[in-house]
Amino acid sequence: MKFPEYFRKIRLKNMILLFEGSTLLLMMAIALTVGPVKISFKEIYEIIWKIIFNDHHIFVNNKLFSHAVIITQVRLPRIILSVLVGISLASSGMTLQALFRNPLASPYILGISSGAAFGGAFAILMGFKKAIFFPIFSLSFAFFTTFLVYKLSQRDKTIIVGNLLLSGVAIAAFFSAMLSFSLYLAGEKLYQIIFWLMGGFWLSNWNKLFILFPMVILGITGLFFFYKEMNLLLLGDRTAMDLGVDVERTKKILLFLTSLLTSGAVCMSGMIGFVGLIVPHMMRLLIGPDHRYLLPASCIGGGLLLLFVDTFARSIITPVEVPVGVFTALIGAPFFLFLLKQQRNSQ
Amino acid sequence: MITLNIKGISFSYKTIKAIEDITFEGKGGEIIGIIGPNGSGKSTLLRCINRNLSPQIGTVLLDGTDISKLSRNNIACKFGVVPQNSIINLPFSGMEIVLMGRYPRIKRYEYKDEDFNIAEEVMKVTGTLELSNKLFTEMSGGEKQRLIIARCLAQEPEVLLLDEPTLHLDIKHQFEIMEFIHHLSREKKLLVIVVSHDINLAINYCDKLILLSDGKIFTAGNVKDVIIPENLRKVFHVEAKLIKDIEKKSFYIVFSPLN
Repeated sequence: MKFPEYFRKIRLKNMILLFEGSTLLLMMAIALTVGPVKISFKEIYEIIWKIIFNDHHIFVNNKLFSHAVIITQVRLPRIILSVLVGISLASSGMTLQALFRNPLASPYILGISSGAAFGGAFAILMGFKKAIFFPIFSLSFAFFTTFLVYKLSQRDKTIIVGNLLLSGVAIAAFFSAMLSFSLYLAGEKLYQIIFWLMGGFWLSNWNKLFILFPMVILGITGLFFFYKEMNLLLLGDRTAMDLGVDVERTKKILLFLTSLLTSGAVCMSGMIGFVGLIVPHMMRLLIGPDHRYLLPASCIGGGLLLLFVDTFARSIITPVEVPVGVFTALIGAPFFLFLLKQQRNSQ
Repeated sequence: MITLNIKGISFSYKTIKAIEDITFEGKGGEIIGIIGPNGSGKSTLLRCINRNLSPQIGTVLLDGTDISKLSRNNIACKFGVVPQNSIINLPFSGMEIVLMGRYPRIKRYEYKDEDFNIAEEVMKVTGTLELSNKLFTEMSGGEKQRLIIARCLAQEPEVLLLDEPTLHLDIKHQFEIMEFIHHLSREKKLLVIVVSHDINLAINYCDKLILLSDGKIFTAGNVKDVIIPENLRKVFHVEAKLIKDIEKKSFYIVFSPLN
């Protein structure tokens, strides 16, 4: 066998992914038992078994029935939603970092999140009753924002990274102002918008999942097709081009996929910051910069982080819930400063 | 054997003309050197050859095919580029970097045995096998340069474009790399186009030279027709003296400031 060390590392990376994946599944199972109502593993197992085999005896036992409702209608969708949102945020953060060749990039810096958030608030404000309007508005504003930032940062058909970051900041500021203004106008809907924006999973249900799931699948599958291109973009636009990447086209597609994933996450759970910053960075330390492994590692890592934080947030001061966004910002902001300092030192 | 025809290409950055009406040709097994002072358009010309920059006027024909009709991926299978400096500040291992040279040729996911065989071969010839597990961020300038050349060869190109390949190397490694490139061009019938600041190195290793001045070809042709003190004085604005080396049947140039 040639290159034993190289293949040893590949095996190690696969092991890490396997370990990470099983940890996530285990965490999801444990999270099912956490909550104000005590439901044991055995009971959960019994409930799931009965649902799978369509056993109607479940309705006879009142206690089991109410527990079944808690498990299937409250906890399970919430757990899956937090994992999916974690996947979306971490993978879009990772993609943007490859695109900018900068570990500080994240959906928030581009202003995609702010755009998506304003879109959602706008939908609430206009009083659209149907649930589907909410993600549609959020999505279209996210796309609009990305498109705008992209156009503003373009010169001679190339994206100038400095311009991209600055126009992202400007647009984020603009949408924040618009958001404040709509909060001012919101009246009795103020509470609803603020609750959503703070970032949390308390309003989780299966309908939300059915909307988010296809978006995540589409986004992640798309990104997997571009792992080579993302690796090469890390070497610089010129070298990427010399190694066969159609740089401009690739950047456009990656920006599209990123805004799809980000807007999906934002309209489901509001502004949860810093996941897209922390997770890819941690995973890069753990598994290396090769996107072939970094992408799945970041996805699972993002799911793990948000699942963990959400479970913690809903159990720490029961029955009161702390918004998840508050927690991630508390961990994330110092982390951002640490990265910034590190980057300055290395220059 | 491949042939490359550069036909009247011009390129401007916005309003500034970088190169103007460049025409030359080359074939497999040749080494063509591009020399000239700073800002004469050497690097721009090199980038226009594989359409890293798209020349506004003129065409580049590879075996009679206009390469503007090829996809980027196809171009990457034909042209290998070693840039002036490679800034990679992420901990990729040497092996990972070399395997990236296979990207234009592999399908979406898996490397095949062939890819590893080629990686091994190119790392052997560039003397980078022992760097396969070393991180790129921890390599010296010379190690990085040899590794990038290995990556470039892993593309199995027909034309090799080198932008100052010896810039960061000490004298021994300068000769090593140039000897190696020379050997490669003969052995694999590669067409090598190399931009160089080092006139004497160019004299030693190139078959043909192109002397650029202000984005235009001042003169081009065989080495001893181009390297004439009169030409060098006009283009570089320095005094140049030609010294014959009878033992090696070659010559070299000694420069001094213009009086």
